[in-house]
Amino acid sequence: MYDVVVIGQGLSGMLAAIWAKEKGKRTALIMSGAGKILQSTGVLDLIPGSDGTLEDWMKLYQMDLWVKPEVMQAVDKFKLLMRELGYAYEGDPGHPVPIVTGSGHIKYTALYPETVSPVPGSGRAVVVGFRELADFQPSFISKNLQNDRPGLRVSALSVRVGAESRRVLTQLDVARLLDQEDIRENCLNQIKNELRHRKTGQPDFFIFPSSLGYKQWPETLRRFSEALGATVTEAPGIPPNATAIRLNNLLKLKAIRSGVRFYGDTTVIGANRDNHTIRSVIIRMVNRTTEVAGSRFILATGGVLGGGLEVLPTGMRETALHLETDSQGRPVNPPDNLYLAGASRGEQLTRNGIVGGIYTLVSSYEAAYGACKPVRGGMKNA
Amino acid sequence: MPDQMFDMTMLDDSYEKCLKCNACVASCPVTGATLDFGGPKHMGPELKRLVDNQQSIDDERIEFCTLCGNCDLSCPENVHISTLTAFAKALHTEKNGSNFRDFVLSNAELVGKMASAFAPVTNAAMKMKPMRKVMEKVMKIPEGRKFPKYRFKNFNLTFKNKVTGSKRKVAYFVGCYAMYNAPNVAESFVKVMNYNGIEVVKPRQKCCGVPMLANGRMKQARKNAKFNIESLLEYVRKGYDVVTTCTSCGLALKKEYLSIDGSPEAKELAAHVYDADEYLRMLYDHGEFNTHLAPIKHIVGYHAPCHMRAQGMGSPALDILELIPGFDIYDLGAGCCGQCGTFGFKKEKYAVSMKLGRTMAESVKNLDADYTVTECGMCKNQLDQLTDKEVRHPMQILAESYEHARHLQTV
Repeated sequence: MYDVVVIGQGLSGMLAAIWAKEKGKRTALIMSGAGKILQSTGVLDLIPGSDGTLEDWMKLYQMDLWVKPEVMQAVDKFKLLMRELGYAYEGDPGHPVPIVTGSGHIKYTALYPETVSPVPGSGRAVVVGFRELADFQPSFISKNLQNDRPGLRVSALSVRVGAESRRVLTQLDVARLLDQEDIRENCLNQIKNELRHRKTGQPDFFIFPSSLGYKQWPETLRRFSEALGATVTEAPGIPPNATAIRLNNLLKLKAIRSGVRFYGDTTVIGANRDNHTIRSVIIRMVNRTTEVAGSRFILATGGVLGGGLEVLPTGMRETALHLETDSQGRPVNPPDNLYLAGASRGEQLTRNGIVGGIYTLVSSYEAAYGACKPVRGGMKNA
Repeated sequence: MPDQMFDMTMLDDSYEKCLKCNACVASCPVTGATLDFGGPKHMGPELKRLVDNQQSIDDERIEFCTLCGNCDLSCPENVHISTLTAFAKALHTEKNGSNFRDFVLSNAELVGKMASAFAPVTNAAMKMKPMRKVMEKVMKIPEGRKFPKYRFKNFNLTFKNKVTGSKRKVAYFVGCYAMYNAPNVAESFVKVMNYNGIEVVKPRQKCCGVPMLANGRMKQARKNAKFNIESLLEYVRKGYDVVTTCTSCGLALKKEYLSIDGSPEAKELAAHVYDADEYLRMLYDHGEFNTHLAPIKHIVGYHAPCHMRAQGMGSPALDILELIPGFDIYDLGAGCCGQCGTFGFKKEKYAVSMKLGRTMAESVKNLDADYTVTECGMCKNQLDQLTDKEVRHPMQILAESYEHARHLQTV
């Protein structure tokens, strides 16, 4: 019934579905949960946990040099999509930049939304927390940042969001509150008063939790940088990060509005095959087990962390289609009409198989491209 | 002995898999609209973890849970969050009792029966300002909230099936809304099935129980579930498929009965329950769908009810309506409408209901289609209140297309 059936709703599944639909394919997306964007930072790293270059990355993933233009093509495609969705991403995988995280440590990232800015090497930085938000501790963060960036003079302060709440606030709650002008202005006044009181001079850089507005983030970001007269950044940390929620919700809305069919709360538990092709996947719905038929399938179920792979004493197990894998989790001789995106390819570069955002979007682009090609067989599986 | 009841029934240990990842919190429409709600993670798995094998805790912040099921959709670990919150709601009601308003609102069937018997009077009365002022004051039902109209000629009086002895047979679970408020939806459904050569019967049935669950009246919901399971299963065992035109009834029969009743019979029934569009799509996939549909040249917006999405079946209404030549339908992607069944009729929830509704209304306005399509009567109620577009059920459009095609043929 469908041209393309995508399994998984993480960044790889969502991008693959959007791009397949864009090519006019009847597309379904089957998912058993919200996907891992919600728990992510919303920035796209090259090599997670390392500050390596694009060349290091290509070596790690054993890519040939000729693939480089295609990597950049995928990156441009993603940037174009995000600009269209009104949440532009900046950066260049050729030149990863240092950003500060919610723990105060520096990490290098390749692509980041407009609400995130690279950390300068010198000048004055202020980490601003909200008293009601336990997930972001400015004094702890400022000390970590000071260690990582000795050339920067880092201080910390806290203000009150001032909203009555009957639950513990998350970064996302604060982001929604900062959508409101009165709350925004009240926070800015508190920050300015505190700085005036301290008489430490004009800061160059302000670090906030990932809470600078949800739907109204352009206005919040503009107002904060304007009123504080300095560069402002979000430091993504403990989920939910507004950086990631915006990315997730915009991609999902785009997919829904372009006509991708979402099968939620549904688990793929196997496949019906003819020789070496998948005819349909078997899904477990809330009330029964049934099939979803398609011409091409994209596996985007993630690695160990995403639940696409399971670590057993005997090795790796691929959970959705029960593909045979090697000891790393790489599918061995997968069906001809199956395309692998993201961590489901079984690359174990980091513990738990986090592959990084750039690898995710390049492999999703490749999978969507392969699944839409008129001739059987996609590009080589990296 | 309320505590005992909850210990005995709460064998659900899915909470143990909760990693506190906050996916449910980030996906919960009510959490996004008010800080008064405790949120699905706190009110579901965390509360359960705290009280398991111990004395239960009644937390009034559960009142804001609408049982929309978006938490279940988002959970990567398959924790049965809405089951846990449904029981938390039940405990809260058990300890505090239901007020008169919630008792009335949760009795959709009884209200439907009475209101439709005096339909012209009820409809007129619900529009009278003094009457609504009193209702707001006494019952805490907001004056500004529009109510669905009740029909004197309810579906019990108009049901007419014209096909018998077909291979596939349908036992129609009508639901209170199509029975008393929108008999035209039910009539359209029977026509559509008949156009596909399928016999429709109307088994004995009671309210599916969703309004009771949403108001914490678990015992009554269970009674209704038991009645419906017994009545519908009789048909299932004779080879009938159970089909619903209301997505909340559909979710109850497919999913809620598995947790609130939990019997093997509930499971047996659930496997044979279909949403009307899902059923038609299944016919289409088997090459049995009557594609003799007359063109309808309309641009239409589609609002996906939460309880439709919670059934995890894609978007069958879109799949089927797209088969009508010239029919251009777009998913609004608006999320929760904010009516949330009885929730939006309550004064203390009204602001939240309107806040959610405005987001939906905005998407309707931006698309600016000819009209809006949705399966859910309660979503329609909110759409009627907040948008100026007509709202129709997929079955009404299909019936119209089939009738027109037949007309063209005979002319």
